[in-house]
Amino acid sequence: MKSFVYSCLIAACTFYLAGCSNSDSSSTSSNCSGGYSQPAAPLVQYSLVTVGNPDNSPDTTGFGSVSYSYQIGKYDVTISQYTAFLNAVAKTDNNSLYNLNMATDLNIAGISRSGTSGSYVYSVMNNGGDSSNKPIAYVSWFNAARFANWMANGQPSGSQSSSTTENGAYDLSTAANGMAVPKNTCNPNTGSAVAYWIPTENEWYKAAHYSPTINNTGSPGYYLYATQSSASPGNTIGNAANQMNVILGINFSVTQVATLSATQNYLTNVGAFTGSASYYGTYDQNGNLYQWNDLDGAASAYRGVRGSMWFAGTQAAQSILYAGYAPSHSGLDVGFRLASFLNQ
Amino acid sequence: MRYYIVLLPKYFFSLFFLLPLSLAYAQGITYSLVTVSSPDNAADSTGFGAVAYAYQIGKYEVTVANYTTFLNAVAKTDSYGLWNNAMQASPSIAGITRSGVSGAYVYTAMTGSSGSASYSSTGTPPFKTLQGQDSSNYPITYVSWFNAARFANWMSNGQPVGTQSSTTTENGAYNINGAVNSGSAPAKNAINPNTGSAPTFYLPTENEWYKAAYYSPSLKNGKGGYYQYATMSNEAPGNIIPGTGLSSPQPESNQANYIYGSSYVYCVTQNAAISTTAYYLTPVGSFSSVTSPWGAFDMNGNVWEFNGLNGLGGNNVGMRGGAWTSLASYLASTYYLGIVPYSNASNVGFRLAAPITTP
Repeated sequence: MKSFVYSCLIAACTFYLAGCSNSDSSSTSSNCSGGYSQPAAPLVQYSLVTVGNPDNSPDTTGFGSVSYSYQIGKYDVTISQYTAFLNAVAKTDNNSLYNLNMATDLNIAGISRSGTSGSYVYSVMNNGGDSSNKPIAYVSWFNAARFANWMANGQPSGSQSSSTTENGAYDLSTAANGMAVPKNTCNPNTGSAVAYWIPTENEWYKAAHYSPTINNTGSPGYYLYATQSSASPGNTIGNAANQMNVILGINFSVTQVATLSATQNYLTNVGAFTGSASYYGTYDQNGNLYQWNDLDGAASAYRGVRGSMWFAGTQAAQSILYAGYAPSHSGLDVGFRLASFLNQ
Repeated sequence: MRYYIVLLPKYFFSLFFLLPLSLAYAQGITYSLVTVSSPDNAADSTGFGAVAYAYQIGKYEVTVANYTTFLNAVAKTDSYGLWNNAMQASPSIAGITRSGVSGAYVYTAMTGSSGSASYSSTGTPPFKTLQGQDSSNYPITYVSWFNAARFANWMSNGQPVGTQSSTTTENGAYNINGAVNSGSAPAKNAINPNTGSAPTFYLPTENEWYKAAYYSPSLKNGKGGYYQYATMSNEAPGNIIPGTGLSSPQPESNQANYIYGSSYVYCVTQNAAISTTAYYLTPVGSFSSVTSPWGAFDMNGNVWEFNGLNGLGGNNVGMRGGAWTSLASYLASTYYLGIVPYSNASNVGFRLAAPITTP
C-alpha cells in the first residue's frame, strides 16, 4: 500500500508541475496577460509556500509535528477566487456553495448573485472598496472541501458532480450524519495524488508556528503566534512586525475603534500585514478569519479551526488554543486555506 | 442534593447564617450540586454526551466568593499563584482584591462598598469595584485549569486551612504537584490519597459536561435526545437579564450572557461597543428561569467552563459553553475549545462535578 501511494505521488508531481509553476510566479504579469480571454488558463492562481524541515518535533501542546515536506496556501482563499469557483460550478447551486450572507453581511461581504437558478452569475462586490482580495467567509467545511475538490480536479466548469465538486480530494457522497470525511488517497478523477486539500491540524500548526531557527538561535521551536513572535501582537495594518486583524484591547483592527458598525467591512486584504508572515512565508494564519483544518484527517463530527479573526482577541490567535466546529458551520468567523504536496 | 452534616464547616456556616453571632469559625463553602441521571444514554450525533453512570454537577459556576474563601484558607502564602493580579485589575470582571504581605495575605471579594478605591497600579489594596457592583456571585475567572483542579482538590480534601501542599491543594482529585506555567493535565485520581476514597469533587469530563448541558431524557418521546443549546432550546438564546427588561416585556426563557444577534450587543451593557469602564459578568443564576435539562444554570454564556476531556490527562484540556464574549455559534453543542492547562483568561471559569455519593 505504501509503495502504491508513493508512486501515485510521483505521478501527480509530474502531472501538476506546470500548474504549480504558474501559481508560484503569480507576482509576474506574464501568466495573467490575456488570461481573461484564454479559457484554458486556470481561473484561480493559488500561491503556495513550501513547508520543509520534515520530522520536526511537536510543540509542548502536542501539535506541529509533520514527517514530510508539503506546501500550504500563502494566503486564505479569497473572495475573487471563490467567485471564480461559483461561476464555474454554481450556475445551478444544488449544494448551496453560495450563502446569502456573503452579500448581506456587510461586515464581511462579499459576493453578489444575479440571475435565476440554472444561469446564476456571481460578482465580487465593492464593499467599502474592492472585496476581491479579502478572504471568503460563510464557507462550511463541506464547501471548503468542494473548493479543494474543484482545485484538485483542475478547475473544471459544469454542474456540481463527482467530477467537479463532489469528489476529488474528498468523496462527499460518503458524508453521512453531517460528518466530515477523510481525504482520498488518490483523486479518482485524475488517478493521481490529491493536489489540493484542507490542511490537517498539524500541517496548519507547523506552517503557522514552527521555525527551525526560532528567534535566530539556530535551534528549532515554536512561536506562540503565527507571526514569528511570542510577544503580544498589535493590530495595525501595514508593514510593522507582529500585527494581525484581531481586536486589540477593545478596538477592531480596520477601524481602530471599539464600536461595531453593521455597515463596516472588517476584513483586510490577504497579506495586508506585510511584516507579519510566518517563518515559511504564510500570511494571516492569525487574524482576519479562523481557518478550517482537518484535525487528524479521520472522519469526525467536528473539524478544527484555528487562528482568531477580526471579531476575536489576541488570545484566540495563540498556539495554545484550538477549537472545533461541526463541519456544517458557516459563519462570519471562518474561512480557509488549502495545502498541497511538495512540488519539486 | 444539599445536605448539612454535623461537623462539616458548611454546617457551621449555615448555622451562623441563621444566628446573629460573630463568625468565630472558619467559613466554608456549600457547593450546590444537581443530579444527572439516565445512565447509559446514547451519544449525540457529535459523538459526545454518553455517560454510563449517574453523577452530580455544579448547579452554578464556582463564584468569586467561593474562590475567595479558598484563597483565604490556603493562600496566605501563595506559592503556586492561585491569585492573579488581573482578578483585581480587570474592570470587566473584577474580582478579588489582595492586601497584606506574603505569609499574611488577605483576600476580599470586591464590592462597591468595601475597599479604598477602584484599582490602580499605584494604589493600596483592598480595592472596590469600578462601578459599585458586587462581584461576590460572579463566576471566578483568570484561573488556569491547574488552579481549578486545585480548588477541586481542596474541596475533595474537606476544605482544609493551611499552606499549599499535597494535603490541601496539590493532591486530592488530581496530583498537580506544583505545576504552574507548564506541564500536562494529570488524570483524575481513582482514589484521593488524603482520604482513601474516591475524590468527592473534580472537574467534569467533556461527556459529563456535555450531557449535563444538552441532554434531556424527555426528548424524542421519552427516548432521550439533545438540545443544541444548554438553555433547553434549539434556537439561539436572547441575552436579556430578568428584571432589566426593555420597553416591551421580554420572555425569561432561553436567555444567556453572551453577544446577541446580528447587532452583536453585549449582555450586561446591551451595547455593541465594549468599554474599559463597564463590567460584563452576571451573578451566577441571574437567568433565574433558564437552566439545562438537569437544573444547572449558566452552562451557556457568562464564562467558558473547563472540562477534563476524557479524564485521562494530556497536553490539553477542554472548554465549552461560550462566554460573555461569545457569538451564538460558540454556545452550541457543535463547538468546543481546547487549551493548555496553564492558561487563564477573563472569560474562562469552571464548575465542579461530583460522584452521586457526594453529600
